[in-house]
This record gives sequence, C-alpha cells and structure tokens, in this order.
Amino acid sequence: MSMKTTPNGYKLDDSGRRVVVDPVTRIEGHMRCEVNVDDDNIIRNAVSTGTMWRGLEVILKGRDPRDAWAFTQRICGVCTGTHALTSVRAVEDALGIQIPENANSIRNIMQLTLQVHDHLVHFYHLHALDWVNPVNALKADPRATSELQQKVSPRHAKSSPG
Amino acid sequence: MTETFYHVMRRQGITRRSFLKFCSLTASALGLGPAMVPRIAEAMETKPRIPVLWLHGLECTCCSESFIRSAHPLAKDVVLSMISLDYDDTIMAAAGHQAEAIVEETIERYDGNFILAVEGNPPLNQEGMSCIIAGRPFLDQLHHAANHCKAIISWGSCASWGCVQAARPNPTRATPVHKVPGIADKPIIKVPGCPPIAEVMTAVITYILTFEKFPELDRQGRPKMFYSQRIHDKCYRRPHFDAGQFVESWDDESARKGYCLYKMGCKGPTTYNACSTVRWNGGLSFPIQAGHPCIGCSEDGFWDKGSFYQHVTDTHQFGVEANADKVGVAAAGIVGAAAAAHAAVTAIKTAQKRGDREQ
Repeated sequence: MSMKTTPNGYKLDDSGRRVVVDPVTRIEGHMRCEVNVDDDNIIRNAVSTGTMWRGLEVILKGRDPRDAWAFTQRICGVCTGTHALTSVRAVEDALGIQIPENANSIRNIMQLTLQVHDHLVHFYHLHALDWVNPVNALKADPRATSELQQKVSPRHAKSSPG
Repeated sequence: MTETFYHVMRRQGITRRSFLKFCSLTASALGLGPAMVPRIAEAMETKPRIPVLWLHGLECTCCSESFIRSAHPLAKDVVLSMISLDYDDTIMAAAGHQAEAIVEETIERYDGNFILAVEGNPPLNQEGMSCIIAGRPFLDQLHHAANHCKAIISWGSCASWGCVQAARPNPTRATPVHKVPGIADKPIIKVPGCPPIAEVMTAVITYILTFEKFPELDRQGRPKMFYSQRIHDKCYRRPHFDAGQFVESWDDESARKGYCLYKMGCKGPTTYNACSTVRWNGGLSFPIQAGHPCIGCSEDGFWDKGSFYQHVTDTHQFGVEANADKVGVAAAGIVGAAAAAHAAVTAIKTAQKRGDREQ
C-alpha cells in the first residue's frame, strides 16, 4: 500500500494493479482514465485527465459580449446549444438584462429539444456500444425481437411481426 | 480484400432496385445528372470499400455530429458500406490501447492506400502538449498517419483553417493541417464549416469512392460543387436585399416579415458554402431561415473579423432609388469587367490544373 497526497490535497491509494484507458472513446474531446484495483478488483484510486486544452477562456477575453455564445458553444459539438444558452444567460446576468417570458419559453423549448436529440445520439451512437456487441447484433433474429416487443407493448407502432 | 459496397448492401437485404435508386439519389445530390448513375452503380458494385482513419485533434466533435445526421446518403450506409471506417474515436467501440492498435494495424495493412480524415487540428506550442492521445502528442500521430496515407480530408473549419482555438491570440498555436510544418506532401481536400453540412461530407466521400479521385477543387482546396457560391447568391431572402428591405432590430416589423438580415451582421455576402441550397437537417432549414444572420463559419478566420452582429460594409447593392434602367446600365458595366477578369482567372486555372497532382 502506498498512499500519496496530490498537490491539490487529495489522498490517492497507488497500490495494486494499475489500469490505464487512453484514449477514452465515444466522448467529446480527449480523455485519459487511470485506476488502481486491489486483489478483489475494487477500484481504490481513480484519476481522470482531460488531455486537450484549447484556451477558449483566454480567447474570449476582449470580445464583443454578443459573440460570446458562439465561442462558448464550441466547447462541445455534442451538447452545443446548452453551452450557447448558458453563455447568453451569463452575459445577460453580467449586464443586468431581464428577458421577457416569451424569450424564456423559447429558450426552454430549444433546450428541451436538444435534450431529446442528445438522448438519441448519446444512446445509439455513443453509449450503446458499451452494452451492445454490434457483431452479434447483426446475427439477431428480427422476428424474435418483434415478438418480444409485442409482448411488452402490443399497441406499439413498431411491434408488427418482423 | 474488403467487400464492395454492393455486396454489403445486398447482405443487408437491400434489393437491387433500391440500390439503383440510392445511386441516382446520390448522383443528384452530387449534381452529376442521370448519365453518371451507371458509373456510380459500377463503382459501388466493383470497388472495395475505402479504408478511412478518422483522427481527432483540438476540436469539439461537431463535424462527427454533423456527419452522423446525413440523410442522403444515410450516414449508416456510408459508415457500414461505402467506407471501411477503421478508426474514429467518437463512434468506435474500442478504447485505450485496443483503439490505438487499430491505427497501427490500418497503417500497416493499407500503407499508402487509406484516406486520412482529420477532424480538428494540432497545437504546435510546447511541442504539441495541448492535445495528447495515448500519452503522445496528437501532432506525432498526425505526422505518422499522414506519412502513410493516400490523401487527406480536412473536415471542418478546424482542420481547414484553424477555427475557434486558432482565434486571437491562439494560445496553443493551433494550426490547420495543410500548414503543419513538415506534413507529408499528400493531396488535401478541405471541407470547411463549423460544422460542414452533413450531406456535403457524405457526398465528398461518395465522389472519392466513385471516381477514385477528389472532386474538382477551387484554388483554396475546397470542392467546387459545394463551395463555389456564396450563401447570399442563393439566399431565399435575397430579393429583400435587392429591394433594400432590411431588418433593423430583432423585434421590428421587418424581422417579422422575414426581410434581409444583412444589417444585423449577416455574413452571407462573403461566405462560400451550400447552406442556402442544401440546407440543414435533411433540407429543413438553415440559420437565415431561422431568423439569425449567417456567422460565416466556413470562411478562414471568421472568428476574428469583427462582431457577428456588425454588418460587413464592402458589399455593393442596388440602391432602392435606382430604377431598372440605371441598374441595367450598371450591371452591364460590371459584366464587361467581370468577363475580362474571368478570362484572366481561367488562364491561371488552366495552368494550375496542369500542375495539379493526380492522387
């Protein structure tokens, strides 16, 4: 067992087997995860590192505040609109701007629409591969799948026999 | 040998009839006309899928996000059937050393024959320390892959121009692919935009598969078929510009009537892209149609050309007071000058073409 204290004051247990995953895929940007597992495969230490830095904070300095949302939006191309809307709100708060109720509603609609789309993208393109083996999935029997679906939800539009 | 596109489609239960329909849709998306349909069909039937390495540098993944929304052709058809996308860290199942092993495997197996698609760009400051993949600078990975590839696709404004991380003061010295010192001398096609239009991305890939070469490029290295016209040229609000009908503030009557957004800072007049024709989300809309000015995201250095809401001042328009006769005379003068200029440009282009490398 070797305990270490990081410069930020965290205690790390650096013993056992060290597992490194770099790059972590199916995320925006670049990430590295390092963990130490003990004999029972329990994680005793975990460190994650963002391995990319673009300096958007530095680039934003001295810009027209009306433009800030577009720069901020480029933090992430997967959840773009969320960053943009938050940035707009930050600028408004700084300048003491009150927005009308209609504007608030429109923004809420935009944010919720983005959330719906993000769920689809995140599940099917990004997250699903952690749970689904695509090679085996190609061998799946569509008829059996459909029958299962009909048991769960007989009136579902997509539950017609395959 | 890798399977052909046609075999993969048939294996997925797609009929020959649907396959041919796909080919003709693709031909029209590429602006090629019906005569080219058999050629596309032949390419799909006989050519092995192109191996593609899709690398990510300093970026926000918006290019990948755009790409997976392509409607014609569907991104799934491209990813599963037309190309052999061997590495893309946004959508690949593997991670860590398994993922990195695939890069090496592709480079060894298809040495000199794969397409290197780059999303994002490398930072040059501190020897590339601002973008590290698997413990090594992305800059090294890019150089290595570029040395062994057949050609490079620079996806998006990052790889093409530098984009947001290269905006003033460019703290990491982010550098577009073609300007990276010592980058291998390979043909590069730029597909700028932040992000590029999904159908433009898939169409470029379809073209490369069909004709085994890049589509015709302009002098900045962009495919002419999508980047030869300004947003302004085909904007459905253009008649309002010509008539001098402008939105003056976000909530005025002109905004409600859908007048031209030029005075609100629209960069349509200086932006070369296909948004006003191809549009976004399967042709549903584009920023101007949604009531916001174009921010010019496919142009070099668009972050540093003043506020997005400051209108460009060097666009000439027909005055509202001018009548058709006066406009006609002025236009004739412009046409004369343009014809002379065009002749000069054509001569340069012909010379350029002769010097062009065949990929």
